[in-house]
Amino acid sequence: MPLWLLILPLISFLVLLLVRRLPRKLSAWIGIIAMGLGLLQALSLTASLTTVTTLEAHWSWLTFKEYTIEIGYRIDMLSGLMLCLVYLVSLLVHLFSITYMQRETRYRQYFAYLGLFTAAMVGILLTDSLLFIYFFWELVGLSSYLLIGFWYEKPAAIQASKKAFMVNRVGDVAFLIGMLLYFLHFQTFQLSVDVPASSLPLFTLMGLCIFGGCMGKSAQFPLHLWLPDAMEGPTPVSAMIHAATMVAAGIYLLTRIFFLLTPDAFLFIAIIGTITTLVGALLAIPQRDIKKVLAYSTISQLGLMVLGIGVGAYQASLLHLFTHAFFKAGLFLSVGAIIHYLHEVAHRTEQSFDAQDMYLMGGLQQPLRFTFITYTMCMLALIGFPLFSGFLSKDAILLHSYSWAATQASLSGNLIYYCIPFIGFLSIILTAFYMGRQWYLVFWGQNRLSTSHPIITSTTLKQAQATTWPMRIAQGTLVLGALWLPFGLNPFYAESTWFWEWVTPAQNTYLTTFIAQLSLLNTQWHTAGIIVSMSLAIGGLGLAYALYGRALPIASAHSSSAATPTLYADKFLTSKGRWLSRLAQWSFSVPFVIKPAHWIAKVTTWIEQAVFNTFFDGLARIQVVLAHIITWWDRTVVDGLIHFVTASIDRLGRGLKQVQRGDVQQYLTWMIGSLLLVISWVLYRLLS
Amino acid sequence: MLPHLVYFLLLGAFLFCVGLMLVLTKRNAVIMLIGIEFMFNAANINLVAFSQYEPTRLQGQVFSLFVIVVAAAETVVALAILIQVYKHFKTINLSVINEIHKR
Repeated sequence: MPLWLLILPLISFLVLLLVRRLPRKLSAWIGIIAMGLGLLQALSLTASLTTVTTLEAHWSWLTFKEYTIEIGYRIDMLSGLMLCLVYLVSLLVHLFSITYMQRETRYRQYFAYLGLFTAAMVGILLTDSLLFIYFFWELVGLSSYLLIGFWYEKPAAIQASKKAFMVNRVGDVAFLIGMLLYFLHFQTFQLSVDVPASSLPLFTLMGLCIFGGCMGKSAQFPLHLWLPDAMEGPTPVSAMIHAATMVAAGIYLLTRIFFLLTPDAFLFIAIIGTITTLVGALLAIPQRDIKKVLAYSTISQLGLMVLGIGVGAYQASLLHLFTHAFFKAGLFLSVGAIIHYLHEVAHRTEQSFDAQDMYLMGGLQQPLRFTFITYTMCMLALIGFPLFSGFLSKDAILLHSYSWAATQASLSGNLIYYCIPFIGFLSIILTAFYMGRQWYLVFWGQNRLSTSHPIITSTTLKQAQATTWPMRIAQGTLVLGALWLPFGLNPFYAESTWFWEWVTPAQNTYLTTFIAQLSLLNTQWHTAGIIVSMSLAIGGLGLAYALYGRALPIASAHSSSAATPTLYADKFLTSKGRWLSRLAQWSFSVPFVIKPAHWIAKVTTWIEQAVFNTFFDGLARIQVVLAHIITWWDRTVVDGLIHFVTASIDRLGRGLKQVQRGDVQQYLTWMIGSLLLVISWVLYRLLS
Repeated sequence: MLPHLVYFLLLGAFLFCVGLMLVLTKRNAVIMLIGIEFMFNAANINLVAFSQYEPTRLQGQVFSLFVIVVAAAETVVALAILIQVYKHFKTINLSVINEIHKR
């Protein structure tokens, strides 16, 4: 029964939420067992599927006039594989959180929210109706809000969770409009309709509106603002958001509406994806926060997936979604292990410092040997190194985009189409650079923490608890997915992966002729593409090594030893400290590489803050003003009317009550008084 | 020669008003009963006064005797009820024994 897939995480959510006084260990294990059972179920279900068969059932849910809205599920190979992925990542995140959240007081609620998050994502995967996808889509938004703002004692976390929710809402409004357009045109919400061959402008609008929803969830360019801030949540949650659940939902929906997209929509999607790739990669470079680098990297990689969909590389994009899920979750869990370790160090030495500041790290490969290995493997996969899974998928997307550009250029004679693969290839070198920078800053050189906090010596660093077995299992499993072998035997050809065989591309009437031309070119450029992307990746790593690898001299104890981390970092930036100044000089001695990148990053940051933030700020302000006006109307006019009516009835009742208070003498008075009146009236009539 | 009828009627009306005021204003149940007796007697005065118009049959005087007897019987019943009320409420103040109007 496939519905168990949805029910299991919901049970975990409800039990953990409602049953108080649950022992801490048990509450974690309830979640883990639910996810484990779900994973088994998903695996057995997917194993029973073939490339063409689907598992489906539909019931009518609502009938009005001649329309029927159906409720039901439909599982094909793609959603089956996605279900396995979601459950696997969710299970590993649960495992990892046992240790990571061990000092947390609201342990039970944390696992409850994780269950809700998983349930919402599974719901999106199970249903094939846009309406129900929308329901679960909102549920994903809600649970991400709860998890990002989990540490609501921190104002930044509250801000971040609000931001994530609001920015997603912008995309969701577009999704809603697109969904209603779809219903208007096809009279159904089911995602299995025949699209006429003629390209209607309405279809372009519809596809782009639904794509707006994907832009929100998958953090595409104008709506990517929420994702870096979402780093305020616990790190395992970041792993889940970035790998399996939230951002994957956008790409998944995009593949589900693939059949609907028109050539114009494809072009728009490709452009958005390209911009996102570039912006994400550029913004990742100057970050100090270890998690923010990964956050911007996720934005960049999601841009690459969207770019892939935009150029029609259906399988390659989905393959990248899968491989990225593994190595990005691996990276986040490794970073989680680092942060956890530094928290332990802080706890042990009773010092306080920012455990996410990369400037305070360095030399961590000694105490964190296991994490160093997992991080390095996942990093190589992200960079797109051969023999790692990231290479397969990234290369496939870029090759596809190149042949797409070549075909488009030959059809239209316009060379501007080459911009898209060019930026794609540029993102490889940027990715390699910022990942290399992070790698060197975190793991190599001397530990810089002991410079600002002399209490922390190398012996105290060694004593702190590094990783526990649940963390190791989680990290280790994800590292397997960073290798090429789980996906296929040949490490160079994405077409030879099992995934490629299993997931057949969705039909799109506009693309069928186009794709035939593409596949010809694809094979032609394959070897060249491999060499180019490999050399770019190595070049980026080399650049990072040149700037950050060798240039990190031994941290000399500088004068103000009690400097706070921020001051310390300021010295790094303003090049006042001694070794730091050397590092800064070294870094900025190659101005034509670093400076333009920093400058572009600053400009993009400025644009992001000045234009987009202002725009969305304005929208929010208008809403707030409207809400105030409505509140005033409600308070004074609507409430006032009701208060007036009730008050007058109350007054009347009080008045009438006095007549019937059981006072016999009063009754008599009334009686005699009225008798006198009657008598005097009768007398008056008689006499006159 | 008897005084003019009007004086008897005025006396009766006066007595009746006094009785009515006692009934309407006094909180003590016994005083209320006294007020009722006043009103009976006002009626009796009227009856007696009007009986001068038929000196042979004396209907008014006889009727007023009946009224006095019946009123005495009524008063007995009323006093008996009052004793029961007093036993129950330990008071005969009408505003205290009112059970509808509880604040």
